[in-house]
Amino acid sequence: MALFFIVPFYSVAAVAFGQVDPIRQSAVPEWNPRFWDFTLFTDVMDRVVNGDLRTVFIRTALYVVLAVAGCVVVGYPVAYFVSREAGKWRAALLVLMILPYWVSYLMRMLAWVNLLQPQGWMAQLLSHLPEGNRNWLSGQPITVMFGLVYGYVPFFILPLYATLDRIDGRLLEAARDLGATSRQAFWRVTLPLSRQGLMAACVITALPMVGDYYTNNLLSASPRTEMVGNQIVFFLQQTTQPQVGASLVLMLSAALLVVMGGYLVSVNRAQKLVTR
Amino acid sequence: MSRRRFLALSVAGASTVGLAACGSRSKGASSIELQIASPAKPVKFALTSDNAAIKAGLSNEAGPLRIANFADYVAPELLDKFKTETGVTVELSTFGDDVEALSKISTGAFKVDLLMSTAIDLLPKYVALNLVQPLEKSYFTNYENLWDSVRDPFYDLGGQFTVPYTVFSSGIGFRSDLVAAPLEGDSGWDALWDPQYSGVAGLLDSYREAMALGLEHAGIDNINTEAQADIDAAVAELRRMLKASNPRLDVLGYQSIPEGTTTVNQLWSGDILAAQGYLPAGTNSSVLGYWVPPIAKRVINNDAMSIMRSAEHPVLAHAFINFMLDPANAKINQAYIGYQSTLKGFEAEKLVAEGTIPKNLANALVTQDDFTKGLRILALPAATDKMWQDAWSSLRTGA
Repeated sequence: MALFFIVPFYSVAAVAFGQVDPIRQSAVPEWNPRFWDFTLFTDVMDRVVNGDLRTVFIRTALYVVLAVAGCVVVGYPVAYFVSREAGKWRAALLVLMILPYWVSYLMRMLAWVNLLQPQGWMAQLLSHLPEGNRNWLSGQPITVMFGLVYGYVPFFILPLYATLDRIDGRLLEAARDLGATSRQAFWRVTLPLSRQGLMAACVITALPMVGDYYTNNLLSASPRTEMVGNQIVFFLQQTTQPQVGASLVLMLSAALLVVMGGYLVSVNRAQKLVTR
Repeated sequence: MSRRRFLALSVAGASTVGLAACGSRSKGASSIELQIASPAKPVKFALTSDNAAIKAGLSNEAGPLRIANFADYVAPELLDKFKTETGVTVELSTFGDDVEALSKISTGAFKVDLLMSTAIDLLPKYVALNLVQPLEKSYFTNYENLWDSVRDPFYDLGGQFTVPYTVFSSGIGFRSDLVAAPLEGDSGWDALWDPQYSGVAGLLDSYREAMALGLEHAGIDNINTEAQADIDAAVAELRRMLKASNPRLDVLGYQSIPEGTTTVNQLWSGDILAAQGYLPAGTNSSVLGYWVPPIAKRVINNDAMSIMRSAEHPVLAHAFINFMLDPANAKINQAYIGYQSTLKGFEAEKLVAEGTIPKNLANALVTQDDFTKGLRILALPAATDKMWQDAWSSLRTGA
């Protein structure tokens, strides 16, 4: 915990509340909290709460929520099928699900850049749909969200699969014996039992999405789809103000801690119910 | 989480803070004064006895020669050729932008002998931090190949620390087969504000270049302005552009124009020349076009080669610079990277006549006259730089 959380988090804080060397253009972290300077952090907070950065935070939250919803729509049926209906094909389908991990995220996104270019076959295919005749790589929020879903859905499916796989089939048999239809058995037995796995999958997927900048860079690169991660990268890599980037990281982390806190409370309650 | 675990975590966190609070305050930022150059106020850096050039007549070290550069900014063929000629391997480290290069070199993350593309506006920092060493020009037997106008540049009078690598202008690349009308005349840049190019426009993801375009379009020729009102005017112009044409922000115009993802794109001149290599099979380079404003409004820039003070192989570094000053090698490099060298014999008329550069892209080449008369992006004072960066950050939010 100290190595993977406290030390890195403290390092970010030391940069956010420290100084910058205007010559080297690199951060001068202040490790002693007695000398932390909160002036710039306050300015950034003001931009986030009242200023132009609020738009970026809201946009990022919206994209992540919709992308996670997309992962649920795509990933839940896949995880369900592989865990409960695949039979002898389960192992093969599992391998196929893991195969995307073998290809780097960058290459997978670049493939979509190729497919969605004006002459790309996917763009040509989509042009036959209503509203489909557009440049999909020019500041289209739906393209960015699609990229997030595509890039992160393998991370969603696997933990959910593990949960669904552990559901005792006898419970579903019992539900049917008591007169439930397949649909009712799903809604009243399978879905509630998979809730914790579903929440875990959502959290595992949402957390990296929130800090993602690469997907937007590759599939859009437009200010209309700018995410918090893009602003962080801009300040950390292209400016003499790495403290601003570090401040944004702290704010993002604080927001995510709230979400994580809600998840942990839910898990705790579920565990208490089980052990009672 | 159990109460015990929560308490353990809190104690760990408090201990970390407590231990840190026992330490002394971090050393402050550097307070070195920079010598910021401009064409009106050229700079000759003072040489110091503790940072002297290497002696003349030394033999090459065993190597390897370690160089740093942007990715795809030196022809791999030349690195192999240098090895064939000298027997020394060249190891290339790459960086994404000039700020990253300075940060990595100054903190020791990059241990290189030669920086192939030193940003001119950052050169004062390299010199102030004692990161670069003076050059011993007796090793440059090909020095006479350099343009006369670049041997004594305003940013490094006497060429004490740098040798120019490439020179380029900032303009608008376009697909002549896809634009409604060719970009020409004094206001070709209006295309970026034209809603008919919405979704197929591109802007350089460089706050200095993009804001300079905004300033120029607002009628402000001082592209190194320190006035907030000027910066606000540039931001207003660029917001109009973002609303009208929704441009992509990246430095990949050399790919997106030939691929057709963008039709009009703010570009450096070398990129439109490099774009020829990215055209789909069977597509002639006549579909590419490049527009530059009149010279009074044209941004000209150059990268330069410099040798690190901590170079372990300085003689090899000098040898490599001399190698790049050979016109035959410069030609190979230009064919690969697209960017123009500052050597004699690379004039537009000659290259077009040879068929090296297509006639429709002749204006992508910079002349010696352009080099002396064009507008230059210069280093800014820290507070002004912050204003520019904050303005660009605000533009990027799309708010």
